[in-house]
Amino acid sequence: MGSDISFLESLQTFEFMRHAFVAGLIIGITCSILSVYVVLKRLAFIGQGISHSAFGGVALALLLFEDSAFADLKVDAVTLVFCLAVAVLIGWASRGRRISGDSAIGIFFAVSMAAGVIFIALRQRYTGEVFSYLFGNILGVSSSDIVAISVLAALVLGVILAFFKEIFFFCFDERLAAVSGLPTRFLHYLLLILLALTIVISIKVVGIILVSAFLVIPGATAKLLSTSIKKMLIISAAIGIASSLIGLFVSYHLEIPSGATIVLVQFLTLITAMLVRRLRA
Amino acid sequence: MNSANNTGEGGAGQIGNLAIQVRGLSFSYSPGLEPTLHKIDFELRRRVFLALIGPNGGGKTTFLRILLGELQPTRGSVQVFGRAPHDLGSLRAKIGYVPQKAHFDLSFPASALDVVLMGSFFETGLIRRVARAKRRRAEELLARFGIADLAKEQIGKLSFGQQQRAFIARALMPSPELLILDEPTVGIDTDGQTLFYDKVAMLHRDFGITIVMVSHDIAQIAGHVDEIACLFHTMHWHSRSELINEEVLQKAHVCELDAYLKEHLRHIDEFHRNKQ
Repeated sequence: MGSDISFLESLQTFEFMRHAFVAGLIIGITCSILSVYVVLKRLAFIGQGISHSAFGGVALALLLFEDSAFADLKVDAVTLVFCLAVAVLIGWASRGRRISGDSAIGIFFAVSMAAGVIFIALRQRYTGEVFSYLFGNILGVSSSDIVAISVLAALVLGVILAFFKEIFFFCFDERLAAVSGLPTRFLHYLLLILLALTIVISIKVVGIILVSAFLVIPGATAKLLSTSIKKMLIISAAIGIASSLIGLFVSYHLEIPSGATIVLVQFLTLITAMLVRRLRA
Repeated sequence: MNSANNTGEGGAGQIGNLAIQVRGLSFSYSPGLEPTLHKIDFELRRRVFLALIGPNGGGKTTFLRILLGELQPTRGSVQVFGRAPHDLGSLRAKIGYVPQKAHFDLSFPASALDVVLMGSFFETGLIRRVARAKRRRAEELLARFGIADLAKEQIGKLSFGQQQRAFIARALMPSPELLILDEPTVGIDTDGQTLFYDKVAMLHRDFGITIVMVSHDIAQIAGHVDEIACLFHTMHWHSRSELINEEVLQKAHVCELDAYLKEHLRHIDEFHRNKQ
């Protein structure tokens, strides 16, 4: 067990390690900031719905564009459009009265995955890279991926900053926000679109299955330790950054998968926070 | 008992003086259902403090939701400051609302001051930051309601009575001309209720705010309000201040029974008509 060179040396030596480091940091911050709102507005299940639906998008994109020029870019674009469409559809269905919100999410979730399985079967070839979308491959992040991740992350964080007070009120009490004249329908879709964007940039790195943890655990942990929204955002971001770095470090030295290691580190911070809260009380 | 309202003599010339004007309002939650509100005519002049009473399930909250623009009339028209409630535009800042119970998570990371400041978000506009002056105003309002020392406290950690005072301070942030309160003191102890009503009455006296307050404690509020109206699917009666005396209080006490009897008689009536 263990590597011949240290984690820091590997960062100096290998470009893919630097990419992994940067991608881990950006996604750690973006997901953990958004996770605050996922926890406050109880969007965890919607997040699951969107991320699992992304599987259908990825499979469709691979089926259509795998052998064409700029395949990577096209796959990303199709996944992005697919996730945005699912986010808007889930948003629309969860506001309707005919089918309850959680049923709608459960249906989208399963139907998209079913479509994905069929798209993959239609390709009739090796399906190894599909596995990397399911569980992420932080060591396979390219420099063009880093650019795309940075741009979308900046967009997500910029929008959250711009609509900070409105999203805050919306999460606190949606009905009161609506009666007070805030555009709650717009804010509802805005949050879901931000969620979809974050999921799209995260799935290559941490995977469809594990992104849910990134979008819930840091926020849930921070909520246990904070009484103000600013404190909650700072603690959550700190957990996101620290768990990405520690997870990457540990996974490098133990030679175990990074995304999964980061999730386990996040889980440990949650347990620690619960203990701290217990001791304080 | 007069089923028409008693304030109708204002006439069309006084629309500018009306905070609320309701004409032939009917509402049902779905087409097949019995209407929750039936043929309501109602007017409320500016600067009047109205207590809206009536039995549970009689449509009081539905009526408020229509005034707030959350629901739209099935039939008839509703105007608040001369405009349809769902289309108030910037006039929305003139309406403050305090719910019976705000639906928020008690561990939500917001302080009492944060909640009060939320009342200024609409006026401030999207994206812009809340001005420093608004912060001072929020602190003054908290002081006015006797919870200045709790400004930084997490809202969920306050007692329910203190929370309601923070919520009324929130509603007052944009200096509304109309304040709508939906049974704001349910779950507060008697002392807390007296304090709450005194504060509301003071707002009415000092700033001339029009107030519509749904309440059950008719005996406790009778001394503060200008008018009382009884709503049970339709507006059973609506009395002006000078008429509020022992007799009206008596009527208020029997409002529930009265409304029930009327409804019962109506059903018997219908039954006989259908038989013929």
